[in-house]
Amino acid sequence: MKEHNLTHNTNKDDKLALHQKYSTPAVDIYEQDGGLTLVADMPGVALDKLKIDVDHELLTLEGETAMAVEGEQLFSEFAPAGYYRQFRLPEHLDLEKIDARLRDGVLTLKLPKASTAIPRRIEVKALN
Amino acid sequence: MISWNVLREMDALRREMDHLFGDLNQEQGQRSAFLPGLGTRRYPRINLREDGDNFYLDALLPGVESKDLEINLTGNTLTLSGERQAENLEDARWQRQERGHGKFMRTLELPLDIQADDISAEYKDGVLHVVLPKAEEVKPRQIRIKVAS
Repeated sequence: MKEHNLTHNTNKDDKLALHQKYSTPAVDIYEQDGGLTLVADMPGVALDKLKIDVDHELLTLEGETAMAVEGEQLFSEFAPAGYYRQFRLPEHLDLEKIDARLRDGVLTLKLPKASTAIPRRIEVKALN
Repeated sequence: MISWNVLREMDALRREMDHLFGDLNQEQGQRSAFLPGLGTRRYPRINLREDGDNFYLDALLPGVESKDLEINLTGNTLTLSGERQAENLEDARWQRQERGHGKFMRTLELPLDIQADDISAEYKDGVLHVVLPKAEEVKPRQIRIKVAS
């Protein structure tokens, strides 16, 4: 799975605006026999504020955070912004069977391989 | 109290490192929410706010079980510690690994006394929210000026 670069379809100003509003979630991507798994850290995102889109081979993760902002800021290491990241999916995935779970601010996406992509051993029968 | 001084020194050193490396990281737009691969950034990331009555601390701790999370207050020093457990993935072929795991500790010195008994902490959606009420005697008080007639 490759990261999709925003510069291909947005101009510089759009990209800048996007960076100010969103931060990039850290992700793990690994492959197992059944397919791909993507794990993303998106702390502060509630279930109803998370959007996952698959358009052709483009996967978009987008989440808004809703954190209470009380009082005056003393110091700040993160902005209560949202998260945004896009990936280009490889072929041979069964996009109908994507399973997404969100728990404690961690998104786990399971992308199973299409059944046609799983190697199958064909038995050869001997003709007598 | 030598141990606290050591921690403070380490925190100061880490802050310096953050300044050195932080700018580089920001330029690339890569802001990991949790432990980075290299020990160059502070973790967990925290925001501290205050009003007349309380301090409000938010810490980004995605995927940490609340049983693995500990908050301690000694004097004015607040310590957040815990561990993010790694998943056991022996058969996985990695394509990308940006999320960290392992033990963490962060100490924070608060500028005022705290009512230690009334601290409340809530963990939701991977964010720890701690409300630290200021001690009565250090709360700002407004003094009314009477007009002598």
